[in-house]
Amino acid sequence: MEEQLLGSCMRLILVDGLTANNVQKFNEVIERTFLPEAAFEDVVLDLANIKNIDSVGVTFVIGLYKKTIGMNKSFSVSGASEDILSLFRLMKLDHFFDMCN
Amino acid sequence: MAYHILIADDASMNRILIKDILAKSLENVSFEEAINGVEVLEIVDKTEIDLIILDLVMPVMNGYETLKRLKRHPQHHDIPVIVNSAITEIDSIEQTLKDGAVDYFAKPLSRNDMQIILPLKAKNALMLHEQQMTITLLNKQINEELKNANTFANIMLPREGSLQTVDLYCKYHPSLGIGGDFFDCVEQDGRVHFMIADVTGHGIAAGMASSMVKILYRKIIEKPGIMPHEVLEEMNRSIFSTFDFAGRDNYFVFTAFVGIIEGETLYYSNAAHPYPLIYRADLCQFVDIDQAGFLVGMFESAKFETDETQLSHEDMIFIYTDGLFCAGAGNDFTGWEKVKSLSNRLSPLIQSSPKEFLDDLFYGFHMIHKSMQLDFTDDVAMMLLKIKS
Repeated sequence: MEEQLLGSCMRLILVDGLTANNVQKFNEVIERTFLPEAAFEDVVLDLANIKNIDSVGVTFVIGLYKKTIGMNKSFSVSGASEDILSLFRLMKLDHFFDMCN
Repeated sequence: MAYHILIADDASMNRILIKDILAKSLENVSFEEAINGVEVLEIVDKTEIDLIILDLVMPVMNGYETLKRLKRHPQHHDIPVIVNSAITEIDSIEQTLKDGAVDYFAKPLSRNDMQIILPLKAKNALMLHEQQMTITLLNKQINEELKNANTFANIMLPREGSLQTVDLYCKYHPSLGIGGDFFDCVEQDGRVHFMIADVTGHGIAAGMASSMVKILYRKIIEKPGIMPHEVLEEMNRSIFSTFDFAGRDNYFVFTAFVGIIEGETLYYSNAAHPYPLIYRADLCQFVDIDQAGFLVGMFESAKFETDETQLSHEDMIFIYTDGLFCAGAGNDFTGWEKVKSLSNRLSPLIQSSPKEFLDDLFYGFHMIHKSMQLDFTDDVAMMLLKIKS
């Protein structure tokens, strides 16, 4: 996971599959990045490079959303493939956060 | 731990020398001796041996043949063998190592061989063997536990053909002996309640969670007149009120589809579960139940919806988990379209033999995965409910 801070926006770019075997290391980055004094206001999860996702990966996205909202920051997903969007729509995640290109 | 070492050499002087070196350098060792390969095989059959020091040139059966037979033997192939021979050609050394010897040393023994090399090689081989034995024992215990858990998981499944208003057909294929898929079907107060759920992850933790889902489900549907969305909401509430997540979100999360058949009406509510199918007997084809919904266990205040559709005699409701179409590392996670497509191709079979339909669908996906050099990696659960005529 790459972190890019652009102004008040923290862009989290995933390069490894959003799957159970990678979620632990993603969580470690999140723990390190989401400190109480973090300066960013918006979080964008960039899934443009992601082809694979499983149920543990989905729970990671939802957990990240909840953590972000809990810190009074905005959350959105960008670059998700049509398949990932279909999965998120099945789970009604489009009701919670924006999914943009 | 006491070690038992077998020294095989037709020359008694060599046996005495090696025994003397190892007795001085290792603790808690005892010895067996053999003068040919036949004696080696007889001794390992009768005695627990932790290491064999094997000469190559022996009468009756030489060391090469003995090594091959040991490594082919289902019980003795794990015993480490160190070859000790006057044959120093590289071809011979290479052959014995290829055949499974863990090490090789040449005769006659030098001073360094006696004082340092042989004791260290023997010690390393014994430690390796001990680790292998521990792993084998642990694997055996785990397999036994998984077998017991699998028996328990099977007891929890609904029994086929046990209902008055629907015929029930099931297929369950757990990925690790026990899995996180759960399905249930029960008749109560003139209604058929059914549910399928897929707990995040798989294996023992998911299996424990799915047991809890079953208990929760059976308890919740005791409430008279309950509707599917209320079942999901109650389960969701119970998870948050019962378990301490210690700030973590994903300990107990699952997709689910809950249905109730009352008369000729199917009431249903979906919690992020891959879209179930209804086989419409009059159309001879499957149609989607394309309702979306939240995961259970992620949002404390999640609300679900109940929709309804009319059923006719001979219609069938087909529910399944994503392990059917999703193999490998999270690829093809939206394969529900494939399920619908293959189900429609197999639909001529469903009227005559619903059980065979499930088997063929499972086999079809097995072949699809195989064509991509994959296989089922997650639990697979399928349930088919046929409305009796």
